[in-house]
Amino acid sequence: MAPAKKSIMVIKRMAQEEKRADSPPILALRGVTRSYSESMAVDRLSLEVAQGETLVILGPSGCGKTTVLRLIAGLEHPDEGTIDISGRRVAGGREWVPPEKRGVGLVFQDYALFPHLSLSQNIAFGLKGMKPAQRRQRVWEILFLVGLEGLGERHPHQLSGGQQQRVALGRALAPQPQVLLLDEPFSNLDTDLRLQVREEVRRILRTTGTTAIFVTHDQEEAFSLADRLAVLNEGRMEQLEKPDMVYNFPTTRFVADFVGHADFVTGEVTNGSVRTGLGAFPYQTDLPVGTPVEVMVRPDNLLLSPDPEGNTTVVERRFLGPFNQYVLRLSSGDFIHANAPSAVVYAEGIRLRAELRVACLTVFLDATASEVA
Amino acid sequence: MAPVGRAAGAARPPAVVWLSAALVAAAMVLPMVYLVVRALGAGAEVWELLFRGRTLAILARSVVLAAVVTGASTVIAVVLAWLTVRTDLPLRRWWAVLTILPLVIPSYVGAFLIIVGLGPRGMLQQFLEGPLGIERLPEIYGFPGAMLILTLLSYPYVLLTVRAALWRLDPALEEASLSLGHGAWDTFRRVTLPLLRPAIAAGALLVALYTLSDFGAVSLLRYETFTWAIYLQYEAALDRTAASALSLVLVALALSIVFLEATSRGRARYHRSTVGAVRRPATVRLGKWRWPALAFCGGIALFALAIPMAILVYWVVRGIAAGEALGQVWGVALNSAYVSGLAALACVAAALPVAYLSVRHPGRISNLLERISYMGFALPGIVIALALVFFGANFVTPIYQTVALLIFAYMVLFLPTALGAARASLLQVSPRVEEAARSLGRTPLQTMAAITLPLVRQGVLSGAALVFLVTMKELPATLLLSPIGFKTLATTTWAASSEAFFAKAAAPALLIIAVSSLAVAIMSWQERRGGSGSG
Amino acid sequence: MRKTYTNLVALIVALSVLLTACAGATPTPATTPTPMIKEVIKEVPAAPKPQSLTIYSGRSETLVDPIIQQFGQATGIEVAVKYAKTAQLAATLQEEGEKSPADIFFAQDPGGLGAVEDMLVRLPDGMLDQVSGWAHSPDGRWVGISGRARVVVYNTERLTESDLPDSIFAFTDPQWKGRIGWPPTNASFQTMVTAMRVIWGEDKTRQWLLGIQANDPKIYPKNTPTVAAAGAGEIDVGFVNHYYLYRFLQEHGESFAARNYHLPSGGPGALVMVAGAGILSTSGSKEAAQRFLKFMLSPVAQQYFTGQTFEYPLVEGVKTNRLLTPLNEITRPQIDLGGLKDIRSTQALFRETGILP
Repeated sequence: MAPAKKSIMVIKRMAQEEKRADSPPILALRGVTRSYSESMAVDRLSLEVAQGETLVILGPSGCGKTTVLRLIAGLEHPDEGTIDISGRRVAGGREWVPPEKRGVGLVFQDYALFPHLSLSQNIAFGLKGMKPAQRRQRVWEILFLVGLEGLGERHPHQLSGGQQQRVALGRALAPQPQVLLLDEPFSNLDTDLRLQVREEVRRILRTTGTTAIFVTHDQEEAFSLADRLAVLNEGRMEQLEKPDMVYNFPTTRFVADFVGHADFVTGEVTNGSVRTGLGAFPYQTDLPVGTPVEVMVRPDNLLLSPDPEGNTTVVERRFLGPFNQYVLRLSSGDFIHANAPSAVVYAEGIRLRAELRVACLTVFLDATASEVA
Repeated sequence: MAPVGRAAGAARPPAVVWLSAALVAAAMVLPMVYLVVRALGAGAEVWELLFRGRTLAILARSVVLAAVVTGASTVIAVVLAWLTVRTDLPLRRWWAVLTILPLVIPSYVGAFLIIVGLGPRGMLQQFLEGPLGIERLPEIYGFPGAMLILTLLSYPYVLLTVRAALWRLDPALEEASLSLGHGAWDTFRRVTLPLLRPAIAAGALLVALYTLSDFGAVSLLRYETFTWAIYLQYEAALDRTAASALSLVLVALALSIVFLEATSRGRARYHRSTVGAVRRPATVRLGKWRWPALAFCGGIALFALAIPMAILVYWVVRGIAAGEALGQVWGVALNSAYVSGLAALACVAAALPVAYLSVRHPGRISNLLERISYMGFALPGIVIALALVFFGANFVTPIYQTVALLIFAYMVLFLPTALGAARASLLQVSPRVEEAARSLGRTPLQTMAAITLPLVRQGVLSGAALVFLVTMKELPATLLLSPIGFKTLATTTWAASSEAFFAKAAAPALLIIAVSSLAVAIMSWQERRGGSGSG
Repeated sequence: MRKTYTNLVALIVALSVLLTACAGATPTPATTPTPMIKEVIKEVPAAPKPQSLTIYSGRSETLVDPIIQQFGQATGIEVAVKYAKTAQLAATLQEEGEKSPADIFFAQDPGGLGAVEDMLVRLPDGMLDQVSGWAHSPDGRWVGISGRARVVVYNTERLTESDLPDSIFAFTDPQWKGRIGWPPTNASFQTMVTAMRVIWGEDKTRQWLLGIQANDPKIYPKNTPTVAAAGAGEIDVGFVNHYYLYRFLQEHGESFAARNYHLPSGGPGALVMVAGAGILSTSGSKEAAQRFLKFMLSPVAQQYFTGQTFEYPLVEGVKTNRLLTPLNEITRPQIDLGGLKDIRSTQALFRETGILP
């Protein structure tokens, strides 16, 4: 065990040495556009990723998130815009660096392990210019890192899905890529395994200090992995921030709706406040009085209490294990969802008081524009 | 998620690949250039000949024959493939080899043997005449005979592609159908068969084109096809202009068949993901159906292989008894194996870049490229041979009538047989695997060498074996383009049989079958490895 | 490991790009059989330097190889032969044009020679005069080497000679319905029909073709299966060349149930044709080529053809095989073979009558 620990430390130190405090972004996309004959896959996308950071790109299927990864990896050419890795232009204008020269690691959704090579050979595949002894050492370290020591001579078809996943990760990490790209890496695993492997991957990425970009459509996965979260919709960047900011302060209606559950309660601007079916809330805005607006309400931001004079009526109760989710009708006619501990049960038809408990109100102008206080 | 085909098309193919593919295509276009050059010299009477009602009628006869032979071959081949891959048929490995072997019998030999065996006053009739007093058998000349012999000699093309497809079929799909309440037959019809469609179409294409281009069987069995009409222009009328004009019509027909096949490929995604261990489907127990199944395999093997071989053996034995010397055939067999081996290599080398382009970079140009490669196979051998005589003698005089040009001719003739196998195995390789190699620091060419080639090796090897088989029996190009004095088993068989020296013809004909059996054995061994291994 | 694969790719690419890579490979030459005739020609002195000769032979190897070998041994000239069908070789010569490596074209029939006549040189009169005037081309570009007669082959179990008519025209009679076999695509057959056109004229020839057609003839691709069919009783009569029968007799013995019938009326049905040869004008070894033709017209070779291939000798003083009906007992039509060049009109007639597409 001792030598293994030491080598992981070495990996970590090596990664940290490369990292400088005032380092420029390790990856920068500016105005990247990629369209196919009938549709726009990526539309004027810009983003930067710092050394050691984990960025998660979240979006519904077809939003172009896989295309972003393929553009970064060099498997596709952008139509417009530039991509820089470690300050070097790899795509854009007349510049083009082929995938094999980018120092970008890739983990595929279906792992894409080489079926004719053993695990060791798979992992050693990206190790070039090393002495055989060095290479063997490195392969051993990686096998240890991903918890598959002793299985190096097996072939991919002899492994379970979770093991294949870890080999794919190890293979991509072995050459110490500047950026690791992971395309829905856990989607082929069942729920239990997914959680376990996710934690494992997070540990490995932290240990090695690897800069990583995940692509996923799974919110929980996105929250738990991301240093920063990018939400993509129809090829456009909707929001790029820390996960909690994205959840609590979505900048667009799409983000609000896609990330977590959200209801929108209709309201109206009054002097210094917004009046809704849930009550009036203080709100400073330049909008003229009387402007119709919608206030975002998340089910877990509501505090319910029984009150015959309350502002809502219980329409339906759904038991969800740790809590009950209620569908409530406001006197204004809006329906909202609210979560309450599962020990407390309210029957259908009962009137309740629902209080919105938020630090800051998220208000959207009608259906399209948005405004945050 | 980007669609697979187009995403792969985004990266440009390596220059070496498209350059070699373009060169191969150029080689394939040569015969057509020749035909156009020749046909341009045609006078009014040739055009008159071309646009007669009768020309259309003969064309229709060819189409009908090709359609019926293709249909019959498909039925036989799908049943045989299913029996030998998926059931507990006794001795199924033997049947697998035996039922592929008819492919190696040259059609001029096969047709002749069928006439000797089944013709009026043939061996069967004489055999039946004694005890049963049967004096007339059903007519075998004309359509029935031509259809019978061409089906028996060409169904293995479909058998090969369907067997390979059955080996790699994901059993989960059939299981899903069974779980949805469809019985075994319903599942076969609604799930298995549609999944096999691309494989069936690929094999059927070869059968159809082979039938179109065959001369040996149709001339012996007296069924006038378009190819027969082309030969007639060369051999009886000595009119290469008219022959060329007619050949161009055949090219047009063949092209439309090739494009028809292309539509059956659809937009299906073939490569299955590598997640989880590869499973073999359960073996179907035949139970009492074992006996009809055995009878079916036995019947096919009897008519397509045993009877022809028995007649050949009978002649050889009679020849030896009459003091015929067989000594020379061994050196000739070596010649045959030598050029056939080189042809197999050349075809595989030429097929890989074309297949790679059409699978990984599908597009108008790469598709056209692939389809053009079928023209050599669809044209009568004599047309290809004379086209290369023209180009060889006049433009590359130093290699004219050398083995080099002969191999080149084989490549033009038989590329499609290797192309199908190369395409099928490339489709099995997920493009993600290649991209993984790129992201791990390999150039496109290095990726091909380290990942793609090893993964397609088995499929490509069976393609090579197939080329070997068909080259063994090739005649017109071998006669005209081989070095002077160079003899193969096919030319020796022809030389003897054309002068009715059957005993002398039988030994080399048997050797063609014997040497080819080795290739078939390699092929089915590879197939089994490919089917049950790590693919 | 990786390097090997890279090399493999390089190799395959090189192969696909340059198929000439195997140009250097040498074929294994097939050993040649010992000649059947042991006599050695002494008259020709050994040439000062080894000469070589390339022959395109439309005549089958089984038939002519022994005599060609004998020529090589007698003269020291290295002979290389390409064997294929006459028509295919004629087309090959046309495609090769001036680049043809051939010195001699040895053809099965005058039609093949006629197709490439403009590529042949005029032969010396002394050589042409060795054969009768009808047996060489009128302008002397090819010379007949051996003769072959058109016959009616008949099944001996169903017919005797006395059942057979005098003229081939009589087979249009309805009594022959369903009993005739013919190979309409065969070159010799077509030459006979050309002779019909010359002797009978277009109308009578058309009448004959339609008459036979009305009798539902069985169609065969060439002579051999026609003769086989006559022997097997599949047909009663067939229109073929005379010598195929003797090969069947040789292989199956006297019990083979077919014999030849020479039509006594002297019409086109009794035409005698030749297999002949000419020298290519592009030949670089014209002298050796002439020696070859001279040898083929020598008594030794002529004897070989009649003795071994059952053909007729064309040179005076050579004895015809005793199995054959001697030429002077056949009433052949008086016609020059050189005049039978118009294959195209014959083809047109075939098409017109619907016999060929």
